[in-house]
Amino acid sequence: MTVSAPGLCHEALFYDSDDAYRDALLPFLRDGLAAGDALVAAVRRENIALLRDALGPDAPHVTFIDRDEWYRRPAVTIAGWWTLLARARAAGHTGARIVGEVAFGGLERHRTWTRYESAVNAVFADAPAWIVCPYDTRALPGRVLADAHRTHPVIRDPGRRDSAGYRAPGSLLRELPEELPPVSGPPLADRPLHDVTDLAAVRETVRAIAAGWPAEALEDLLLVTTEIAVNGLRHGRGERRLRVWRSGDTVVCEAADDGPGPADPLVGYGAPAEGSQGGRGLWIVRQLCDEVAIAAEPARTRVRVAMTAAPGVTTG
Amino acid sequence: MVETLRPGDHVCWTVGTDDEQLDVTARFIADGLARRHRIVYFTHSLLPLAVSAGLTARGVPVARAVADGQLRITPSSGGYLATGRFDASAMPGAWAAEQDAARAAGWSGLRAIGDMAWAASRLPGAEDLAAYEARVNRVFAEGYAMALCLYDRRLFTAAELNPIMSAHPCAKGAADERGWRPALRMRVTATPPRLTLRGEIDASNRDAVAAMLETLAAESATVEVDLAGAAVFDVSTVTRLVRGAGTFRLVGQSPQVDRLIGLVGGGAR
Repeated sequence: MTVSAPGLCHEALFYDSDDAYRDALLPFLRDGLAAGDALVAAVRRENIALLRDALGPDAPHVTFIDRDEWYRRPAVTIAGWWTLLARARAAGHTGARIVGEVAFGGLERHRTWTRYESAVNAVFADAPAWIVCPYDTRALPGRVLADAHRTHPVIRDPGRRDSAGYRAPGSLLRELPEELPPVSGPPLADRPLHDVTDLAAVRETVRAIAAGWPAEALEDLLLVTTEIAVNGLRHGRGERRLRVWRSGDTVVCEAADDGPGPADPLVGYGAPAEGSQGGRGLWIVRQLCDEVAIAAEPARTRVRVAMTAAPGVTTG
Repeated sequence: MVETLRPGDHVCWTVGTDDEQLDVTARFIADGLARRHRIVYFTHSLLPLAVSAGLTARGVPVARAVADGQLRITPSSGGYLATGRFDASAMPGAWAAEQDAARAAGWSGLRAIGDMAWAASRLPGAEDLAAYEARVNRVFAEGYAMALCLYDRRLFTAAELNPIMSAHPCAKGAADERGWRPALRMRVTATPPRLTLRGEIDASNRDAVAAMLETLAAESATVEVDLAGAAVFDVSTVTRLVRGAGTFRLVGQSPQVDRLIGLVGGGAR
């Protein structure tokens, strides 16, 4: 079993038992070891134990990661893969084999992680990586399993074949927009953005609304708010507004304008290439925020982010 | 308040009316006269005589200051546009010469006021304006000279003003002047090569910071960048510092900046 394409190979593995899991992944990892590939498995804790047992003396060649720690925010996970791939390259590996068992979380996060699975195809298109994503058919809802066919070019169940339902990430991400983080009641702040000299006042407003937040989280929130406001000023059209809500320990900020929104539905998912200017701000925003959504209606674009901070613990 | 400006500062100050322009320059000049600064005012939309009259009416002792060689009011055609076109490359050198002359005459600082209305009429070279405003920071950051650049909001659109504002370390927009302070101060020493940043960095001044970093990197192999008094709310500035890590040695940066450096550097490719 070899794959000759130099770029990414991204597969969904549907399994319904420990045996099926082991039978598919043990040869995948062993072959990778023989080929000199870097090996990483970000999987459920029980499956770390299962793979360690099965690999025996070869287990130390695999970097194991608890998937509950790994799959928290899509942009952070993507940045993590970049780091691991760079490390593999530095260690002399020409390729990497990855087992990525996505933590889909609660129902409200399913779309977020389906979008991530789709974005991976574009962000890592040229990476010398072979990724197998195990989907537990006993535990995951049918919607998530069906979407896996749309986000992976190759399916294993356990036979290996092209996915008939695979969709290009650009069109799938457009079809499945991130839902706007919920807000309740009127915003605590609602102000127009005229030019870049409004940014300092915007931060003053947010600082007041996030009263009681620990220093570090507050600094992140101020950066994020500044970046989405700048984004609206730079790329937006017509009337730009910033609105801020707070509910308990969660602050939601929204920058809106009358423009059509970003042309690239993948904006902010991956680090922009060296030398490129745009997109880096949104990439950091995606790493720092619990939720990020871009809603593009015909003549209104809204970038809405949510951050939650546990109060009381002041680190700064 | 315009009185919070000090030698080393360089502000993009927008005005909405001629009265507003005369009010702010009158206070800027009065403050400079009291601090024994030489003041050079390049006017454009108003004739020098109208400026003199307007300032005198606002209590500025124009006649005496001009006689003492402390104040000079001149049309922009005698300064920025002496060659008939705006020559961005010649300007920093011209400023350095003006600065030397003020020092030699014993003044404790140099204040420049530039009415930038000429740039709105698309003179040859005006497209270099934002780049010029960014580069000239190097002269002011030495801490002897300072500049008040006047931009009339009736002549420039917000979209035109955004890059010009960002080329200055601080800007005053349409909002009320009360409570206004310069957002960022940049100061430079040559030996050792050091850039000190105090205040907040964001899209309102990042081009000024970028140009300063670029200029200093061309002058010295290593430059110390003191961020002890700076908060950075701009990912592109952090990216610039990360990419220039071989040249820029950061000191005093907050844990937040360190974390941002990690985030930006962690995904670099």
